[in-house]
Amino acid sequence: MAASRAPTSTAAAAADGGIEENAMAILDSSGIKDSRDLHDDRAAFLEAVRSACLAGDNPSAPSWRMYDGVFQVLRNSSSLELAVASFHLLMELGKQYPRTYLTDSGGHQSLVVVKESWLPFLIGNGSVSSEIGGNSRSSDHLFDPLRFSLLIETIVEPTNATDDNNGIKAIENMMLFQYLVNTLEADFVPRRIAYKESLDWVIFRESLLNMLLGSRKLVFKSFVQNCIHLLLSQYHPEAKDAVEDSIPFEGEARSASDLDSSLNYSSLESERTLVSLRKLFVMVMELDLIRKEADALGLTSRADGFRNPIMEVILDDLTYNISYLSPFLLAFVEWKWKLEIILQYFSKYCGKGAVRTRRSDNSQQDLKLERVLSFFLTATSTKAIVKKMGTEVAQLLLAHAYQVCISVQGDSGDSTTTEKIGASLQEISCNFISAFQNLKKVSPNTQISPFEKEALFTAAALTRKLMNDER
Amino acid sequence: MVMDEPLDFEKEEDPLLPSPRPAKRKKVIGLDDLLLDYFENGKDLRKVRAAKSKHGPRGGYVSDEEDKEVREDEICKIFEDCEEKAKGLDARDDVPPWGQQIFGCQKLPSNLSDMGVENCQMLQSFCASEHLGFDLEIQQGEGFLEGMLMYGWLLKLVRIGGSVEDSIASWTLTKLLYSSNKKLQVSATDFWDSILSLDEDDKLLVNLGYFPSYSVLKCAMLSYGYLFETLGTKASISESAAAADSSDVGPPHNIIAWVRVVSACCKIRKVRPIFSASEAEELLVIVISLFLDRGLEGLLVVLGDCLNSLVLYFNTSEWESSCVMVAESIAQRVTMDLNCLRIIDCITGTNKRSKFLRSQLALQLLKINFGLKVGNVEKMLKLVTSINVKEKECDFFRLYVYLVLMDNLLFSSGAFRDKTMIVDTWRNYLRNCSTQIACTNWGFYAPKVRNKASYLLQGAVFKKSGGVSAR
Repeated sequence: MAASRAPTSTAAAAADGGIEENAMAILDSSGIKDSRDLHDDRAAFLEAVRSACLAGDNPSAPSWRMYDGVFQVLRNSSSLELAVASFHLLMELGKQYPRTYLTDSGGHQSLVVVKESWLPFLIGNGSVSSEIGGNSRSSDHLFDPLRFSLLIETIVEPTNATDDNNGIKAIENMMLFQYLVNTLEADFVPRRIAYKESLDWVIFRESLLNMLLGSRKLVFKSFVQNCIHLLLSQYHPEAKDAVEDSIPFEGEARSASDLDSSLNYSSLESERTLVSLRKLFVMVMELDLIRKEADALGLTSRADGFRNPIMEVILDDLTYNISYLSPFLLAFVEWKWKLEIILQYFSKYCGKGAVRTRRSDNSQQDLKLERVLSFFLTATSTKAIVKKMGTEVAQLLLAHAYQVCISVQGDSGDSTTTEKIGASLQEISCNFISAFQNLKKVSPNTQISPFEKEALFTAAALTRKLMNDER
Repeated sequence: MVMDEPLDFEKEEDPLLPSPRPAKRKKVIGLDDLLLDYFENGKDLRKVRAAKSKHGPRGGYVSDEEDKEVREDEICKIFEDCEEKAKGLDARDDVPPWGQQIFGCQKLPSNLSDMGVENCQMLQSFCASEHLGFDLEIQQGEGFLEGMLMYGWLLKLVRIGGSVEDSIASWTLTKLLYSSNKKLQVSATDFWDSILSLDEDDKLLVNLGYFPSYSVLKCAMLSYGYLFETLGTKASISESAAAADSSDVGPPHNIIAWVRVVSACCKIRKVRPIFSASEAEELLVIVISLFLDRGLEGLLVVLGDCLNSLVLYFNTSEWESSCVMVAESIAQRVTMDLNCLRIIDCITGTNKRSKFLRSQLALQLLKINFGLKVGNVEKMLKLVTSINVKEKECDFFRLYVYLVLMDNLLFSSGAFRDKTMIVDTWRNYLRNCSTQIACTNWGFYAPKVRNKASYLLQGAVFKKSGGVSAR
């Protein structure tokens, strides 16, 4: 035993190389194989990577090729089993071996980026791949900005999903998207923390998200519109009901196991995809906000390029397609940003001045929910607004804004949102009810949707409770 | 070796892309079906497959028209070749893929419709006192509450109010477990996931009088048709059998919700242990057996989370004995084929407890298999290593299963790592397996045993040296 007590570093390196060889050899498809063998080999490979990198006694970071191998199993998954297993493994590897992380050096956090570690993205003239040891690694399966936006397109408009393999392909795409967003997030979050201390724009200029979206290969506006479509698909009343009905609960024929399970499963997967999508939206919104700060401080340069803020694209889309408004607000539950969208929407119609330049910042931030509600305090002022934006839209926006208010209530510590609301929950609740009463006076024939009724019920129940508490 | 050097492997073609079919093959599964299909549709199956797995703008491996005829001849030749060989091969050559029937007939309990939840205080007190001037349609009772639940109002009211009425709590749990409305299921699960949470001071977020209980969860499982007793006595289902009697068999639609609420219950262990140790054991057995249902293979992540929550639920003092109970119970239910390997794979071994469970399960499986009264590792090792791979009668599939189980038993938990005798015996045997099976032996699982053995052998070397030198 004593003889094997070699210096740790060399032993570990040798072991790494050996483990890599050993694991990669499993994938070697030379020799006689049929599809079942290929499947078994890939499953065995995933298990080997897991045991070497996660579950072993001395787990070590996966090598570039091992990481890449797992990703390719996901990209070419022939079965649901492999797709799920490789996805699961990738997520865990990402958690265990972050590419971007913070270290505590002398009381403040500093950012570390392991540039040579594997990434599913190919960003910026292929420089990422050439950095790695100077050799040309095959990287045409990685995601450049164009392919990233194409991925969204395929998810939004899946090709004919009737046959078995396509069902898996659709799920595979959804998992790919989740994984990619997860990677973006893992890069984004530590940067945000580091930025808070240093206010150094470069931290975000070099973020994966900024480089990805800043690329000319990705048409940002249509990308966002595709994302919105995807988000809406969940709450599009007709489409959604049709999908629900088509899921066989009893008595319908089920065929091969994969198809069967993907039916049960694809709804869960699309749900998670939407969560990822919302995550992506929020990240872009935060990035835009930071960019705006950096612009104001004069830290950006022409090299940073210009991209429309996502908020503008969303607002334009929602204003242009009023029917999107309700499903979008139902689907987009991230309340901080939801309130922002609602307030900006209102500010188009009931801001102080009608003329506003694109980049002037203060005017929009001034509008608070409390102020919006005050426009609805009398029948006359209500009438003026309704003329501009319509009763139904006003009711919808108010109900959603109210939902944000009661969400914030449970969550202390978000001062900016509390500030944007601008009044206590009790005041807001009372004013919310009277706003609806005034709206009813102005246009008595307008329907109130179930969602708005529930909002009114909640407001009334809370007002009573808060008044009782006071006594 | 130097890590940065390009490895031979990379220059070869991508191992994950389907390799061209070799001209000659000894073992083919279902090739005659393939050929029949081919003749019937006149379609080039390979081409179809290539088109399906192609993604994005990549060209890749497109089969050309002129290739077609050559391949046709090729396939004919293989077909003839195979027909000859097939006669000689044993029928057991077809190892069924993993998959056991976990669920039988589903029977919904009858008393679900009338819960009397419309009489809950929240609605009653409101009806008595409020005159807002709107018709909120509260008299719909349950229908109104469903809306409140689906759009998140109920959760928010409860969070701000600080308590949940029992009638509402049990109603939401019933919706979670039995509703066929997907959205309702999901919101009910979110509701419970949220109220079964602790704040920073380890207190429950809201006052709860009603908790989910083991009996309620078990009842639900029964109504989903979970086969508590017969599991494992039934033969593994092949795909044809699954298709044959599919009418009311199969994964229940509320299973995701069930799994998630079990995970949620584990979260509040500190404040309120909802399950006793023996109940948690039962649940763990159920969750582990769910891994075997082909229809649930997409739920790997959700099931894995639940497994982890349950494993960590036990007290330190309870864990070892509970773990043995669970392993025993699973080992009795699961068959000694790819099913037991699937289970071993699914227990990911990312923490100490999970590793222990893995090795215990391997121990119990081997113990039952060899008909031993106590789990004597030396004896098992002797039995396994006495299998002579040079013998004609050697059952390579069985040996393959033993290899994996034995390796997990020895190395998962680290209990045997320092027992040089055992480890050396094991390594010698692995070496025999990897060298003594002739390369020309393409029979039943022989190549897999050889590859697995050499892979495990490498692993065993690293585990030994790495384990000593680094820690």
